[in-house]
Amino acid sequence: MQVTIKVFGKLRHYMPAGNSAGNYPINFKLGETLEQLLTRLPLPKDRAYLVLHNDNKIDVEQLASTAISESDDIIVLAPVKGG
Amino acid sequence: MSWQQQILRVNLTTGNCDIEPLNMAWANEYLGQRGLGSKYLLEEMDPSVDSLSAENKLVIATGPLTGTMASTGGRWSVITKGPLTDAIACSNSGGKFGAELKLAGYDLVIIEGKSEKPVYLHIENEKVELCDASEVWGKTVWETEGLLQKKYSDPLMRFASIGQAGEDLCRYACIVNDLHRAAGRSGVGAVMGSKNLKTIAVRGTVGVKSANPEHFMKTVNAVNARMNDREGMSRDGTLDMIDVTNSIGSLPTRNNRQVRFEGTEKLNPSAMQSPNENGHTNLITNGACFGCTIGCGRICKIDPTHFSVKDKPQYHKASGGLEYESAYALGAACGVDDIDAATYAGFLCNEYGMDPISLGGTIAAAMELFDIGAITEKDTGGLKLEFGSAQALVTISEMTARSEGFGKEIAMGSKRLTAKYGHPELSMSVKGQEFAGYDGRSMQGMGLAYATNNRGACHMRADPYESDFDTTEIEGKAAIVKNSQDEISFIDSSGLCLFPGGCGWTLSDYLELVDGACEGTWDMDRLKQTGERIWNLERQFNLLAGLSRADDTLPKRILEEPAEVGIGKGLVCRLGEMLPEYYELRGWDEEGRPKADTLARLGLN
Repeated sequence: MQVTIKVFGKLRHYMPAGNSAGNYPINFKLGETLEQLLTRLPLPKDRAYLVLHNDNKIDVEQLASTAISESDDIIVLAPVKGG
Repeated sequence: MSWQQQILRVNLTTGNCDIEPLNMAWANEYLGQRGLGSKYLLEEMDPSVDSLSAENKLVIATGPLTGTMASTGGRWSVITKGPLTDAIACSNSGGKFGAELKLAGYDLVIIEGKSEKPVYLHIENEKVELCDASEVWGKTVWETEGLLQKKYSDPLMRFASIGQAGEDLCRYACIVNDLHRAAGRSGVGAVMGSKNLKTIAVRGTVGVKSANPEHFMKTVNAVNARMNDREGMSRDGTLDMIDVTNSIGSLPTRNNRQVRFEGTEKLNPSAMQSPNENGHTNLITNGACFGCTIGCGRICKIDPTHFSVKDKPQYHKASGGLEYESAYALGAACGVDDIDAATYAGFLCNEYGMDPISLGGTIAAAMELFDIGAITEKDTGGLKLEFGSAQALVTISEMTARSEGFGKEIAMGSKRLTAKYGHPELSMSVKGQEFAGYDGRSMQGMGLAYATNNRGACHMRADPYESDFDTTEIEGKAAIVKNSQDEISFIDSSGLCLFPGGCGWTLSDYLELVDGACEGTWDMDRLKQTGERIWNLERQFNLLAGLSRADDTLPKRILEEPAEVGIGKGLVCRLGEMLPEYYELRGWDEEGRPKADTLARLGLN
């Protein structure tokens, strides 16, 4: 199965080149959690991310208990300050 | 020490230009730039004066670190009573002008009175003169700088000018320096225009001295090494934010009717950096202000085949492009997803001297008035001022810049415009100043920050970002807003930029630089008390100007209409719960007035 993750902000540049829109399809197995999925992304592990799952903010402690499906809307962000 | 210890006082009524010693007691209490300029303004001027009268003063202020080797040490501010807000205005800019003014030997320039005829101020170190500006009055910022640059034949001369918007007293006219940096908010350019002052041209070779240069440079290098997370800001600029706010549902769209814009992918960093269907790429390179090691500025080109510039080769060159705030205001706020149209409107802001946030916010309000039928094509001169129309954005921006037709109405700002047409609730502003690109329903702390900011709605005077991205619960927000307001007041008074704070620096790094450059000991307690003193001084100015608790509020839409999507779905801004706690933390009474013991503690009584 496949789900598309959107990666925005500074994190975009850790992702494979050639996808300027920030959309990254990723394969997953039935029963996998959001935490397992995110672990497979080539993102730095020492950062705090903002993760949105179907428009809900997911706290770090919720990642391991959040199941995913193909139609999910998943966004990973590195918040920045405005200007 | 890094203060020049002298100010330049320019009386436009008499034509006198006098150099005076800086009040060092005040410098030690208010540091410089925003704090020191505000202190001078309140000491010298009745805050109840008409902002566009000769009685208003214009303070051009540098900080102790402006013009030094400290990274981002090029900031300067304009402090005055703002025509947009009738409150204290402090508008902060970068570029190279501020450092040049400091290098000419001045901490502050205080401009008072009104010239009978248009003039410009020419400063070369201690040589100061007011010159006839008839050759540049009526010209754009870009034309003015070009003509004067040619006249003086000095490529290192720096200029801060108003365009026609300032001359025509547009309520959000700005002062533009170095072609595309600006003291942008609150209408400081209209104050300059009201005084018949077109430009300040400055060249400085005096330099800035430090009491212990070796120690200072070691500090600069050590602190620079800690700015270790700047790559994203250099590459994507502040525009990076647009995907964040859009994702969480905090991107004000169509005059805050919505909080998410479906056209974001046409305005974001990817869109800016990718070739369009003609093979044209908007972003050319990044740009940096004096001494900056980040370089967040966007240098962009409009597609020469785009309808906005097709027959206008003067706009085919690279210039200051969209930042996050201008992309929000000239894009999402108006429902426009055309990056070239928004870039063109941004170019006009730089060229004619207008604040893009307030221009976009006012056009958005006008589009909503048009949408509900409160204004019609009869009012707009035939222009269909519809949400989403790039053509309408371009045309009304041109009309406003040139003060033509309905553009004169847009130049009033959204508060005056919506009141005139019977719908004051449609102005997305605080104290008359238009919102920045954040929605106070999904970002509750930002809602409180907007409401309480001394210069009206603004995203740069508090730092609730991390907290707001983390939770929409309001517990602790009042303290976060209050404390960050104080800390930012200090940074805004130092000559440094806020953005290193998002690139690796902590408050301690700013403090270390100030302590390394200034005499005496600057520790964290002194930093926080200085910031709190500045905030309360600004509040005093506003109270004396006639503002009150009633002005610490938000538009009805943010207080009563729940957000439809995002992390703030179903929420309104809970300002009524946060504001009393905020006042208490500030040591203010229930009406928002600083209590006697608060004033005494801060040395303000």
